Amino acid sequence: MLPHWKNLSVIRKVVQLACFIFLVYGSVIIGFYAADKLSRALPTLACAYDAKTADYCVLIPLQHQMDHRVGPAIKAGQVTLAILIPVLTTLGTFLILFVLLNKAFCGWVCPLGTFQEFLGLIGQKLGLKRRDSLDPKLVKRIRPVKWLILALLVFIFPLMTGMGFTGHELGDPFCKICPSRIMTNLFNGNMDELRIDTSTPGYMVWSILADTLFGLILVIGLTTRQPFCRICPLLAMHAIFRKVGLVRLVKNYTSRCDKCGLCAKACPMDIHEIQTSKEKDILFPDCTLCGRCVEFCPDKGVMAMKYAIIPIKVSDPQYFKHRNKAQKVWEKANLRQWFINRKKKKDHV
Amino acid sequence: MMFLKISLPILLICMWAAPASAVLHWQPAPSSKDNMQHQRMAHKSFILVDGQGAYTHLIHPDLKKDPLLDTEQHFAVKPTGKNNYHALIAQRTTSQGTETAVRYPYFHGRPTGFSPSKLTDHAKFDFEIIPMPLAREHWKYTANQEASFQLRFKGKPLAKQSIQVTTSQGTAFDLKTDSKGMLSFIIPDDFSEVKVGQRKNPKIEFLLHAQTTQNNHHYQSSFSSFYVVDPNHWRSLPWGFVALFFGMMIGLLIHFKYRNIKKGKR
Ligand code: SF4
Ligand code: SF4
Repeated sequence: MLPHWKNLSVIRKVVQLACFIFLVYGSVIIGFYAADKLSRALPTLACAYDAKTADYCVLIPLQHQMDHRVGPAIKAGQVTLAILIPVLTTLGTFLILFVLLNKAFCGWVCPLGTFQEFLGLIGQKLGLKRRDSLDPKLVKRIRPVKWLILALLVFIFPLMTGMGFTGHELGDPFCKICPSRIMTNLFNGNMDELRIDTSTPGYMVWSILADTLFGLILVIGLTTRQPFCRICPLLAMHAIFRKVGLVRLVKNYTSRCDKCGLCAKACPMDIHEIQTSKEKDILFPDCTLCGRCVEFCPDKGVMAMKYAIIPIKVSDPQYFKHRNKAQKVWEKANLRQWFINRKKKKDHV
Repeated sequence: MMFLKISLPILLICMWAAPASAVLHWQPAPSSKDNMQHQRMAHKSFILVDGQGAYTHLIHPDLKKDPLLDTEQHFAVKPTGKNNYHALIAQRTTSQGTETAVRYPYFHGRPTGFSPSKLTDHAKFDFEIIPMPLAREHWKYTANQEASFQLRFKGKPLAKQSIQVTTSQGTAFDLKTDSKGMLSFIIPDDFSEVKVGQRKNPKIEFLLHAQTTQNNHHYQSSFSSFYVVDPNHWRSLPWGFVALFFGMMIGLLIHFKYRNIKKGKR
């Protein structure tokens, strides 16, 4: 039996829960204004609209800077260093944090990532049929969406608004549809972010889109792993800088990998390339550094998660055996199974 | 012309301030209306109502002080280059006692690394109204939302003390601090005409005023700020649920479309 403290997924869940509490209710713990002093450029979707957050995501200052500083400066033909300094400060802060944890901000810290895993957990405990892996073709088709969202909703539309080409509705368009805004506020008992803003057709469309997207995630998240992460603009932003992060995912390819594929099956982001890749560095743009591929690799030393050069988790047949068993027990414990067992017992009697 | 430029805002403010005209307090000058929204580095103008003979200064987020120069109680405050809340301070001591006024305008600039709580906690007067907390960047004081304050004398909470709340719309009520010197109230939803859209509704003002006599000396203190219209006037929750439900239905459709995938999990 694998003790919980040795189970990477259990450790990760504990870290996720702590980060969730900190990022959704944190200012209550660390003091209201201490929250203002933290990074304000966090590489996860922690929301500034959540009145109790301890820190907030990098996308909100970026959109505001495009809208209020860079856009007007371009329009006036006065792009100076003074204009760019806040943008550079935001990106610099993001980068310092990102170097420390790399894409593990997604798999270990992000409250929306945790919420989606929680939805999956509910689905699993209800005994809903979970979609194991998405079709690689579908995954390929979805992948560019996050880049499009990053380019259009975080940079281009806010810039155009700042330059006066579009209305205020496009000043911070990603925030308008971000599911984290609705989710974190709901966890604080505030339903205001669910409201449809009827002040202009533009605001109305954004708020309908936001609620529809959130509803979609609520249902799809029960049976499909990490539905929003697949189109998250932060995942795209992480992908740009992933080479500088200290947490790494490495692989020593063996010919056995071709027939196995357990790592790809375990991956919540359906990165099929981790199985087929012969490269050492397998930190792909969509990876969230959750470490499940390492946990479910049955070969000694084939996969590893490292902090710089220090191994954090290395694949191991013994660990795999116990982990796999623990997973089966965990998955069997669900409501549907409970009803089936009860029925069987009754029939037996 | 110059006279008009200065006296018109004062006149307008005096008209506004009629219910609380005897109270020393800070007001935005009407000409500076929303100026700061678009010209982030522009100065902001304030008027010190009933401010003859008061000593005024500006405290920066890092607690540095600057004297404030006025033209007949009209103050054009230049950004300090530091980001965050600043404190406008006015104090006057006469044979009648001590009167003080505070207001916390926001200026854009480089980050200072100082938390606004340093500024609000910093003892500015003996008798002071302290926002707990100050509405910060993403949530302004808004009608129908709660605001909390603490009343302190020489740094200590002042219990069971009454405070008058007045708004520029004419709403007025009295409140009492609790045993910890705290008081909370819902900001009145008293905009005379609510137009659809935040930008179409000019901000309005509220003023807190308290007085006490301690050791035979009379103290008065004021805190003023703007508040904005409650956006829920044009934001609908029932329609929000409809959109949420619609999204869930699409989710179900997608789910059933791809249901045929095998059971294996992990
Ligand atoms: S990809 Fe997922 S985990 Fe990462 S920031 Fe986006 S929502 Fe959060
Ligand atoms: S590649 Fe591995 S670490 Fe990255 S998301 Fe997939 S399972 Fe997690």
